[in-house]
Amino acid sequence: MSDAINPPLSQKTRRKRQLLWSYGLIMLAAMAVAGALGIAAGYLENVKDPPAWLIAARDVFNFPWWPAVLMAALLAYALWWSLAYWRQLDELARAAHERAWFWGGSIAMGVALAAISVGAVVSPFREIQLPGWTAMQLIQAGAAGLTIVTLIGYTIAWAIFWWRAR
Amino acid sequence: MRNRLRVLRAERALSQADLAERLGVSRQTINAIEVGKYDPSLPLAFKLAREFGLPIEDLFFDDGDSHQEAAE
Repeated sequence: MSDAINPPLSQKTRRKRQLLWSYGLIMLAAMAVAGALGIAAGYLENVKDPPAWLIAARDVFNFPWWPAVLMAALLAYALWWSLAYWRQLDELARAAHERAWFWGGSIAMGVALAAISVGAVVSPFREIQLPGWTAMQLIQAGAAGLTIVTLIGYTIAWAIFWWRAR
Repeated sequence: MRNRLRVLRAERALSQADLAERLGVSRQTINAIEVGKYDPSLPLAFKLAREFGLPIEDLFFDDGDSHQEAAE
């Protein structure tokens, strides 16, 4: 194929692809590690009459900072990745992210917060009970829900920006 | 903000991708500027003007600017 039909990738485009691939692979690897640790912890937990070495191993696997260490490493990587990704974006792509966060992210978060606030005081929503959910699980579900709604708003605004700029 | 980017690019037989590569931006950025959907930053506007060897005011003008009519 000629260069006119298939032009050589610019250095920035190559870098962007490398970053996207590396991000995907690292996140998949992290999920695999977390899954393996979870399976191992579950297996060790259910061994009956465990020998001493297994009890020691179980203590290590159940040590509460395993997930914290993994998440801290992932967050550090995500921060480095974001900086590297941002540096290779040109100004239109940066504007898309900035406007998407400002308009999409903040409006969606505002709507979600308003819905939560109204739900807390208005019947029948305030009477809803979720049997079997602990207080911490409810807080986690609320935080996850707020984050997901914010990301949906961000994604919609980001798509609208690119659609309008085409 | 309007501009003569498409005309100048056509005169020099440059594709959007060529111009984007020279300026270190994406082809989408060049297209969005050309169709008036995005106003470039001042540094990018100067880069564009320098690329075409023109003063910046010969490349970009306000919607109500009579300079455009004079240029065309």
